[in-house]
Amino acid sequence: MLKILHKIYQRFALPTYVIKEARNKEGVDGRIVTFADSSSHIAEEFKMLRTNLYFLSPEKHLKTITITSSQLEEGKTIIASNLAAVLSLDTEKKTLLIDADLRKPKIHTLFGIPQKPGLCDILKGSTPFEYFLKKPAVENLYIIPSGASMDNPSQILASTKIGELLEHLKARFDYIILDTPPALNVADAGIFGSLCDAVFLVVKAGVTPRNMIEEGFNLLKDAQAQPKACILNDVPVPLNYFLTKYEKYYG
Amino acid sequence: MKDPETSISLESIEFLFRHPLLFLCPFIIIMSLTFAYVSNISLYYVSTAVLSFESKAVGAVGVERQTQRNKEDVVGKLLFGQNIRGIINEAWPEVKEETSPRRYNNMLEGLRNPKSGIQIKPVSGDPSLLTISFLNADPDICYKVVKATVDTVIKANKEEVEKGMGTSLAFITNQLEFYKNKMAESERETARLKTELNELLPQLSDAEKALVREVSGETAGRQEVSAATQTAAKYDETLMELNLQLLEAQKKRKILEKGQLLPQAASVPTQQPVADTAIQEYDKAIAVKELEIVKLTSQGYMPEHPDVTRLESEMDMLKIVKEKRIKALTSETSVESTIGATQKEEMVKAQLQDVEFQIEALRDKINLIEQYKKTAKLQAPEIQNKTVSEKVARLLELRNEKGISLTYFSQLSKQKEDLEFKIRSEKSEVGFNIEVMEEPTVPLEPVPFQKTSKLFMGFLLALGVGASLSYITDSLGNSVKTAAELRELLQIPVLAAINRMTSPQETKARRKRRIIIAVSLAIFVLLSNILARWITGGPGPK
Repeated sequence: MLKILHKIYQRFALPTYVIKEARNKEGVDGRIVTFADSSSHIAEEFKMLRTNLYFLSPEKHLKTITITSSQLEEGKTIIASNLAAVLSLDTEKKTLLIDADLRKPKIHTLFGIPQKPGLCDILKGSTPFEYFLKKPAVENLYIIPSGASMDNPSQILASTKIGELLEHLKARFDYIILDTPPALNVADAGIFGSLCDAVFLVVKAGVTPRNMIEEGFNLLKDAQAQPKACILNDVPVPLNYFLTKYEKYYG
Repeated sequence: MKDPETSISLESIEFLFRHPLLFLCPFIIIMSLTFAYVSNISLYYVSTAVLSFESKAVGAVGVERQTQRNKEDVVGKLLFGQNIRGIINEAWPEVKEETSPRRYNNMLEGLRNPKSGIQIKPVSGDPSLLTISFLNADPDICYKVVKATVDTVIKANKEEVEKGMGTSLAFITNQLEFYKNKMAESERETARLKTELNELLPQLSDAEKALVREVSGETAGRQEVSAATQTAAKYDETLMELNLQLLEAQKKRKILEKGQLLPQAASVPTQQPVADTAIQEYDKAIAVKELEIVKLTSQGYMPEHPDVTRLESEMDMLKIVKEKRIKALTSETSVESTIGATQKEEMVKAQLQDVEFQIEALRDKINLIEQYKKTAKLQAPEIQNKTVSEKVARLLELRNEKGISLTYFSQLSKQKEDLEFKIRSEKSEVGFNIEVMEEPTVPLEPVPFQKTSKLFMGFLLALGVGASLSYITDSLGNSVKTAAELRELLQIPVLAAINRMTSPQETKARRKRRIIIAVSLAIFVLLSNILARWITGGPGPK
């Protein structure tokens, strides 16, 4: 009886993509769908994001991209990781993903790589960055993890070292994606954003209040890191997609 | 570039899918309550009686229908016009008119309601049959109401038929009874007097004996005396008639002496009509109101009924207005009334003279006949014994009375026969000889309940409540839901709308939550059913 009720509910509620495995055999998290389940409709969404990225600035190639949001838990890290994966996989271009969230780093867990050493250590010391590059299972993708987590990394970020590092990296990689902390909580996103070609603001559908979005947007603008575009995350599958057997088409 | 707005066709109802629990929970709750209501509602019973009406042979279908409708109307009129109090008293003896007029009136309205009250319907195909039925949760009340209704219809019909002709018939029967009694009494008295006279007979002379024998009905000596006594009796009859005429004339004189015109003279249109048209209008309006009140009360409405009280107050208002108008007009009408009065006086005087003349003439006639009677009596043999003479006179009187009574009796009997025949023929013409074809019984099986319509209504309500709840929640939220909204807010392009994805752990937690909600809903459904059963006493007879 309960199973039947649950099935009815599942048919009634808008469908969501359920991750097939928590972590695949290469140690990559199932949420990196562009790698773990590249034929899924959600992977298609990221492919579409990549295509739209080309059309966003056809005249100037966007090389460094900061991904941020106005609040916590809006899906920045997942989007940044998937974007990096889809760029590296499909275009066979060397892509670097930097975990710039020095307070609550997450990328190392998603790709199953050690957290330390990472960005903090690069900024603190003088060791060349190649030493800190990590290579996950995803082809053409390189990662610089956050390193040892810090309570107050603003001082390190305020130095010019980060700019110099990005300049170096630009010469080595086709795309550099930075996953940063939320814009309303700390100033890190603004600092990174001002040094990058583009800032993308992630908004969680149905959750993030309008005033928070606007406030985050304005804060970034003030920090000379004006967002070029935004990405709406956590959108339920539209009903007409569902009714036209969207899943079957892509499945 | 992909346009996230392409999926707008079903966007209008997507709020339901964004808050499925908010929609589903009230939906399930209301539907469960509806189910509980439908499955536990007290059942209804219906009791039916079929009445047959003796009617004329009807040919065409149209005429048949017309007759049928007339019959329904007439039965309704009979039933609801008069005796609905009887139905209430019989079915609900606890409802006393004095204690709760409101309840009584409500009951009255309820029984009259064509949808839920006593229903009169034709039996299809047979124009002479009508069914009377009543629907109620209590089978006993069903039976009682229908039984009382049938009794009322029969009684009312009887009264209705007898109303027109019954009064004259009753009068004639009374008169017949009166004369019968009178004759029996005079017979008894005659017998008593005869025995007394026979006892006294030895003391009398021969002539006296012959007279007594003649008077007491014995044949000897009849021829000599009968002529003289018969003339005396004839004079008596004439005297009686004249005295009656004199009485009438005296009555007329009394009326005229009071200054009033005689009834036949009053109808002559010489009298002045009421001059003012406004007063006439008021009179008409008051009469209409009075008629309405009488109609309502005859239909069984209590004086406390709001319609009745309203009419009464309106009538009082009209009366007050009329009086004011009359007061204002007194000065104008006084002249006219004096003219009318003088004319009337003259007429009364003329009529009085006529009547006086009639009385004089009658008195003269009476005197004359008295004299004739005396001479006739002188010719008859006198009886010396006083008691005997009194008894003889009384015997003669009784014989006269008996004769008169006999003629009246025979006339009245003939009239009665005629009237009875007329009643019989008219009764069959009305077509209202009622026969109960099917007696009402206490119903054992309940009426099938209209579950589907109730369930559908509940479904609509549940849908409405669930949808409005999720819509309100959806529209109250301050968040961005679509790419279009986001683009409008920030005025920058939206690169992608990434669909929701859940991890296996999240899915598990959600499933757990949903199961908890489903279980609590199931418990609620069960509880509501039990509660409804407890409140209504469950399905079936109570």
